[in-house]
Amino acid sequence: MKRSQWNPLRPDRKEDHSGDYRSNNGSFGATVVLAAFAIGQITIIAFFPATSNSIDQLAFGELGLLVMLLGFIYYLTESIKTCGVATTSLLVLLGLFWLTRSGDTWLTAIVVVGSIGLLLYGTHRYELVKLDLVEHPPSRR
Amino acid sequence: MNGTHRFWIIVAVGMFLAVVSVLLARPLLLIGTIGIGIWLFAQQHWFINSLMETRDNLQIDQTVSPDRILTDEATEVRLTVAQSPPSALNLTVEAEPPAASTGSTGSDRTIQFARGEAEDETTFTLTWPVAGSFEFNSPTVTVTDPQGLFHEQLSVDSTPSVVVESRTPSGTDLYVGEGGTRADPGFQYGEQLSQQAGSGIEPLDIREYSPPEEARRIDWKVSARLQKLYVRKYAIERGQETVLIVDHGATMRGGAEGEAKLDYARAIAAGILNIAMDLNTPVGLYTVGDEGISNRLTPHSSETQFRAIHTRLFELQPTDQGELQQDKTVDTPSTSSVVAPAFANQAAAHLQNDDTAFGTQLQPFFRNSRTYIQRIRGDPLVETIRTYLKRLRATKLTFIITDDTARVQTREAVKLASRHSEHVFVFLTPTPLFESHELLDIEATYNQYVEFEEFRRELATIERVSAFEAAPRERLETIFSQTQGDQR
Repeated sequence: MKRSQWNPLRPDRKEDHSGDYRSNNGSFGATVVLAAFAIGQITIIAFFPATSNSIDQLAFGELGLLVMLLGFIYYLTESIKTCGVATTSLLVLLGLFWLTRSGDTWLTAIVVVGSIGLLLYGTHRYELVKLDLVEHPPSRR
Repeated sequence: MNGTHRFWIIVAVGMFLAVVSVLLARPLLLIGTIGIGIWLFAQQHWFINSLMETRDNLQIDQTVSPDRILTDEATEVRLTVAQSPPSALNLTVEAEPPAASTGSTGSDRTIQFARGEAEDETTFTLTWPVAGSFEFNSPTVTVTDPQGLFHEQLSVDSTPSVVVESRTPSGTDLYVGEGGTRADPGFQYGEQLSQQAGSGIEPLDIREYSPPEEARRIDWKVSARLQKLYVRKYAIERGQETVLIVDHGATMRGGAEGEAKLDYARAIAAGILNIAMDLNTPVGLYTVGDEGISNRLTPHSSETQFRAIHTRLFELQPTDQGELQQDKTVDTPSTSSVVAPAFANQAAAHLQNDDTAFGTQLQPFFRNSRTYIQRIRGDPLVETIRTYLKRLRATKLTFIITDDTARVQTREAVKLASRHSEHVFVFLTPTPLFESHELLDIEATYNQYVEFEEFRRELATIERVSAFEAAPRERLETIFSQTQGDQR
């Protein structure tokens, strides 16, 4: 029985793909960037107490983290379309956050988490329809 | 699209930030939740786009060689996967052979593609212990993204099929004849069909006129043109149908593996089917087990129908021995003098009130006839013919392929079939020639064969019926040569 084996260490595997670098190191890089982003958020909270008036610095810090995130999304996907969609969605979510932030925090949290959930689930359903993967229940007839 | 553990861990981090923001009353932390949500959404968006591209560019081909084999033989399956341009996702393609095949492991059947690889192939071997027609399932393509966040399964159409045929007796082993003389029922069948030529409407061809033929068949225009008498042939009338009735009861199990009665029955039925296919005649198949009818394909002439009949024939197995009906008893040749059920029924009713010495003497014999009638009524072969054959309106050529164990029922089945058919061809497998692996007592076998031959001849005397024996040629020759030697 003869079969060709895929060998990840095979030297001729990398012909032209810079993408291989991304595939091998991308998941590690993504973990680092996401961890940095989450820690960055906590750090901002720690440096800027609730009573702080340094709004400019705060906004600068947040913007820096978000730009880092978008930059890494582009680095991994190399897709302007994906980056554009991500940026638009980010702006919409930030807008929702801005609109609801003056009320109770839990209400803002529900709006933000609900919107993200809806976005992710909606995309999932879109994929099922686009790829014709919707499972139809068996007909009773 | 399904999320992996990694996906759910990242979701948990985002939720953690949201919960902390609520607990600390610091809405700013929700921007962290938004960032993580957007990260996941972007990856999801990219995955879907890449997935759609991958699906469009993926070419999967499964080839099976050979695709027509005998049971327990092996086939080689080659799974080739190519993508142009190479996908940005990781792919795993696994062939899904039918459950009836054996001999391959999951790793043999799987091709793993790393991101950027363009093509690969794998070859594996399958063996097929069960007869039938089997279609491969579509290969399963599992796609994951390089970040390890999502995975999805696609199925791409490439479903070759394999026809596995039972080991049947070869043409040289199969003897078809009448009383030890080789016969060609295929020729007779062809003749029967060609007799129908002329009754159709669609002109087919012309041939030279031969004298005993009816003069009205002469095509005068053609004859005048060619200066010779010619007859125009017409396509066989559409109404002409061929019906195959194949018995696969427990008694058809008799004989060595691959040379059982049913294997001979199958070979004969397949031969008839081939002739019918050549002539494009509508063919139907009714298979009868001990529990009743098991396949019913009403006559039709199409490629699909011929293939379906072929498949069903080679899927046939004898009814399980445990299910053997009590009714299907082996009859002795003395039953050849049994009267028709209708007459027996009438006579029994008439004699019931007859107190004369004559009536009293005859009553016990006709009481036995009631058992006979009951036995006939319960027989699946008789019931199949009674129920289905008369429903077919068109002129029929009926083929009954069975053995000689249930002679009473077989006789009745043949009589019934002859009433509803233009001609009936009966093929009987003589039980004595299938009984054991070695012919130990040749003389006893010969005597049983003679009884069988009497039964066959009796069937052949029924109007519009031709009866043949289908047996292993070598065995038949052995008993003939041995007994002839003894007689000298």
